[in-house]
Amino acid sequence: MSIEQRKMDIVRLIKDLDLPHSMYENAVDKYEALGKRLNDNGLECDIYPQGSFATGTVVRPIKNGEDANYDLDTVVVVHQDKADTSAESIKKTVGDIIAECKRYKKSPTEYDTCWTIDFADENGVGFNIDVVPCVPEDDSTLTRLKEKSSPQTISYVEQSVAITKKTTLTTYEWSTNNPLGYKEWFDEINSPFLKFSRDQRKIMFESRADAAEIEEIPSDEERSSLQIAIQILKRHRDVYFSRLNSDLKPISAIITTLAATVAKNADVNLHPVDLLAFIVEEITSYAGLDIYFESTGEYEQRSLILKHRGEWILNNPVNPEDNLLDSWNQSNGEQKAKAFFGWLKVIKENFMGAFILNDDSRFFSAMCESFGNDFVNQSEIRKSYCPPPKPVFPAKPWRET
Amino acid sequence: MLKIKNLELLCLQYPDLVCKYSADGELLSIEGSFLLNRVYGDTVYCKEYSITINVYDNRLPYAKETGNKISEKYPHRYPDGGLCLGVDAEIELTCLENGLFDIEKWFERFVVPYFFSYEYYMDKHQYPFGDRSHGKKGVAEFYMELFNVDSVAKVYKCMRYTLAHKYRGHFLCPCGSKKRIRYCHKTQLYNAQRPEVKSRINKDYLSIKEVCSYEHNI
Ligand SMILES: [Zn+2]
Repeated sequence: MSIEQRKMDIVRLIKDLDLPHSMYENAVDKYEALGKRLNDNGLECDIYPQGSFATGTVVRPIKNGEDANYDLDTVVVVHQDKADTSAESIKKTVGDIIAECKRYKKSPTEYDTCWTIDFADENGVGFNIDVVPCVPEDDSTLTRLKEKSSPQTISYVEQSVAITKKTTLTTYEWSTNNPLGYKEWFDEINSPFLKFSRDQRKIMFESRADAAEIEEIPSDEERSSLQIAIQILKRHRDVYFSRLNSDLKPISAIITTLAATVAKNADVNLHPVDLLAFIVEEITSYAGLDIYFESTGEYEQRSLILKHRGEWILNNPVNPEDNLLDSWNQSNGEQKAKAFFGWLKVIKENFMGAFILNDDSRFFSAMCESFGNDFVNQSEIRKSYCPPPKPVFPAKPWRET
Repeated sequence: MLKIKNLELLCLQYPDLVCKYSADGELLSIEGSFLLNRVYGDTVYCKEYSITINVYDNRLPYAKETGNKISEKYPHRYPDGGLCLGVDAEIELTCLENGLFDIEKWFERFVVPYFFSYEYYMDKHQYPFGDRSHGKKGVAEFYMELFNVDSVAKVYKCMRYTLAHKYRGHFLCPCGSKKRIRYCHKTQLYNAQRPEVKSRINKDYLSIKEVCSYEHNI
């Protein structure tokens, strides 16, 4: 197979890990119904998707080595003044209304910042929805955040919210966060990439005789090369760390933030696999250089992951008080940092390196290692790369003492 | 003296394995890589490994994985990277035929499954075909399976018979079934008496005896 064909096949493969259309529609119905229910019960609020659900970078998660249900994150912004309520009251009011709803088979489970509604038992649903209750951030906090923001990011701060955080069994605190600003930040970077892929598809439509029969993809379900590159990274991460040690796994926000930041300087016409190579190259070439303050202005801008006075820093682009690498500065932090860069090295050598292998089955083998053995072996692409497998003889390993 | 057969067949099936010979033309080792492309149930592995197989005059070939793909934590791996393929007796009974060691059969029946079991174990935390206890206990387990008996004591009796008598189909079976051999452990006893496995059976007989006396059930 040519390198071009291989790249196309990887995109096909990753598409199978995205949220299927019917599931997407079902999830939207479910969170919209929840929003209505909250309002009907006297809680004035809006509900939005957030995280990878909002940025269109969902991949099917792996739990205990197996493909698991999708986790979809939403945020409920309650129209109340932060001063007139408390974190505890907001969290509990939302939780109580969800718990009273007879349409859910199980009561919601409480986590630090969210309620999880488990739909997995319902026939063919296959996802959970996390609901993060919050209120708009107050003026003094907004002023403080604006003071800390750079000119490029100050405009997003307005959308900051105060989410609730359960700090002990009985106490709750506010914590500032900005999921809506993040989506806007991501969408702005993603939009030229999305436009490019939309134009490409149009050209393909027009060249086909059955153009009229091809359905438009709903815009929330379109995937740009940037989104696909992020999905590839996330799946590779899930597979890599499920075998290595899941405690060291980098959170999705780190990956998405780094990828989108690099993509600002990337050509929109890159194939997702080439964009991914560019992203990984950029992250690793400038990461952790301890010369932030001595360096030139240009150099500063290119540093993505900073290490300043022994502290790892990657700022949340829309929340100046959120260092996405906080956990790298804690007890097993250096291990996490090492694991992260070790992982990127594996992407470069084993995944990117596989595209130039002459032998198709070797390429295929690298894809199994990258994206999960069972998943890749059960995929459509197997037959074009590898002869059918022969049965293995049973043997029991034994060693001398 | 280990004489090898089907080396050409092995090299034909795995073209990335290369044979190394001494100056006087004796096979020393087989080195290179091979592609595992095997299925068991719903599980398929397609993966490449680098290996070195050392061939000796007076013992079974010894295979090592040389690409750092077998975790040091895997229980069935020697500290030098050697593969714990299986009980020697099982390998000899399977691969020795008329004094010749079938290396292609050995590769297919023991080396390939070894890697398959490894991958399966790492993914699913269990062995697809089971494994054997280390050392003598594992040897005893193999013989229990071979003779299809439920105790080491019965294995011991079968082996003692094998070493002490010629095959006689009308004798009572040493396993204690009260059936004649030809209707009971005919195949197993006959196979174990093949001259090329005689010395192995002799050696294992002594360790089985040890396991037996340890278990106080002889
Ligand atoms: Zn018998």
